[in-house]
Amino acid sequence: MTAIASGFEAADPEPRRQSKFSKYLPLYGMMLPFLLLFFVFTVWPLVRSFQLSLTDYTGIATKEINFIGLDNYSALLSDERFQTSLWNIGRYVFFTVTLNTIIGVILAVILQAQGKFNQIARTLFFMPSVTAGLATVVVWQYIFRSDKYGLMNTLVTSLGGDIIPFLGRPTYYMPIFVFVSIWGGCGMTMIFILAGLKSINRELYEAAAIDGANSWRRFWTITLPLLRPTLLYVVVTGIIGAFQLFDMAYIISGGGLGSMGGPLDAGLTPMLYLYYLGFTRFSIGKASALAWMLFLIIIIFSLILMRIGRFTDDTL
Amino acid sequence: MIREKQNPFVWLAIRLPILLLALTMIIPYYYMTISSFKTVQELKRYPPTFWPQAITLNNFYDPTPTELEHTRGLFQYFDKTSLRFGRILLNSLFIAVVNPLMQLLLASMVAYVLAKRRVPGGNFIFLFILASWMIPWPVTLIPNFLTISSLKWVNTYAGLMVPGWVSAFAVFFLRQYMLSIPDELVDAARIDGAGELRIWWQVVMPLATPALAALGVFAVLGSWNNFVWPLIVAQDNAHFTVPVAMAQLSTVLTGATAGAVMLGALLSSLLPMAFFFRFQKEFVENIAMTGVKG
Repeated sequence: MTAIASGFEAADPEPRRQSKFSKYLPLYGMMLPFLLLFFVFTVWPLVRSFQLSLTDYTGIATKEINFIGLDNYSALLSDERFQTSLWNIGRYVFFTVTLNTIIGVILAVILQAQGKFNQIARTLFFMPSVTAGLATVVVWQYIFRSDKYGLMNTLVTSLGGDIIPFLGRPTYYMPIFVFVSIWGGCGMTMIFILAGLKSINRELYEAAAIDGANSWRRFWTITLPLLRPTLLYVVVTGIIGAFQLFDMAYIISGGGLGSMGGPLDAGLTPMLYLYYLGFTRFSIGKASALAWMLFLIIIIFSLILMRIGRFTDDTL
Repeated sequence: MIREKQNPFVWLAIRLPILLLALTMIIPYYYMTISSFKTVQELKRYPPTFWPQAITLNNFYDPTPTELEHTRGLFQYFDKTSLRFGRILLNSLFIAVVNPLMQLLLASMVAYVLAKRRVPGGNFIFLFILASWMIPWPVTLIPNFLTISSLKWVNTYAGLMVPGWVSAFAVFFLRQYMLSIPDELVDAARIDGAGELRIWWQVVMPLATPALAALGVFAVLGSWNNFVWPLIVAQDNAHFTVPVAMAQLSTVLTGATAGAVMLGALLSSLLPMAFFFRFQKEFVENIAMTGVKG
């Protein structure tokens, strides 16, 4: 530790006489850059966003800003496009999170053992979770082309089916969103579950095996209950993330002549609608109200789920 | 691990569907890659070829671009800026290097103070940062854009980058990790007369390397893939990032232009892929640390 004595921080020869002020000052100084940005870009925006949601602000500096109470909220609640976006995202969240979790658990359980085969398979399943960004959504858009040139339609017709106008009909938007999200997410879930499986005491399985429990029974009575914290984490973070779906919606249904959302708004999500309102229509007040409603929905869902998770924990 | 004796048919019956499923996972990557090197004639062919007949580099730079079908190479798009798509790649690379470094730097200082030093209000600050984790980004999007505009930071690198330097999660993650670093080491350095910055940089940071690496790999990917923020802040080609450029390219996606667009997708997937194969351990570690203990 001798090398430390000569340094860029002045050493204090007599720490005892150090005043409280000079003792804590460098520590607060170290926290200052983060806290400053944290305040400006996280705390203040939360307040500002709520403030804006109560006004008719349009982003035009010269126009007077009026306080209009909860008008933006009531306007949104009776806004058909907003209702459609909620209906869309509700289905999307339900199917994505459910299927993702189930597939993740199945993959993890099958592929948990050591070995070359499993290792390669795990890598292949996990890869989309890491590399899936906006670019791969564009690739999926290309694969799901509505005409016969699309790869998916080639597959469909070679199996004897008729061409499916994937992105031309409202029917297929949400299933495609769910499909692509599972492709891009099940590997991540699998890795979470694998980490959870690792933390389960092996002796429990041995004891159960001696008692004559088959692997099916061991899964339901040992693996699943002990995975609950991991599953809760996967489901809660999955729901929070899924509610905020934007990138894919923007690419696949963001086009359309200025209104966004795809045919009959089948690809409209709350975040896409927020973007539409706030950044193309400049209804900043209404968009902020939408953000806060989304925030509340997410918080309520998370709290309910965490309550359910904890409740069943106690009953064990 | 208990192994029940399996007959080879059962083994195969489980493995075969898994193998097929695993292979379908990478079909988009394969299709994107071969499409990037197909000729325009082949891209327009029906049925689409699953194995390229002829390989061309025209999707990078097409010496004979056509007006009629808008065919040109990827590096001939975005002509309002020097280097064109190259500039956009460099923008994204720059942000993917600087943002994670700043995130880790700022967060680790806070984490050090919160984990290793008792300061009045420390617990409150920690809980406050932790609670902010609940705030979804849509809520902060509009106010942050207004802040950036009043700073005149729209269409600047500062505007693109600075808001991304705050990571509440990094503070939480690093603090948890630093709690496991023995106090004796920190105290010994202090007795030797080292100041706070020095202890943080020379004692705590080296020991926190695994946590920094685990956070870092995700931070790099997060910065690389970030879409909404650059979409609203970058309003001219010179400040585009790769995802914003891809969003623009996706609007001109037709049979004839698919080669250049798929090449863009390929190039923007290369960094994450390289990262993934280089840092698999860190990825898995990060997940293990957040999912099980968090």
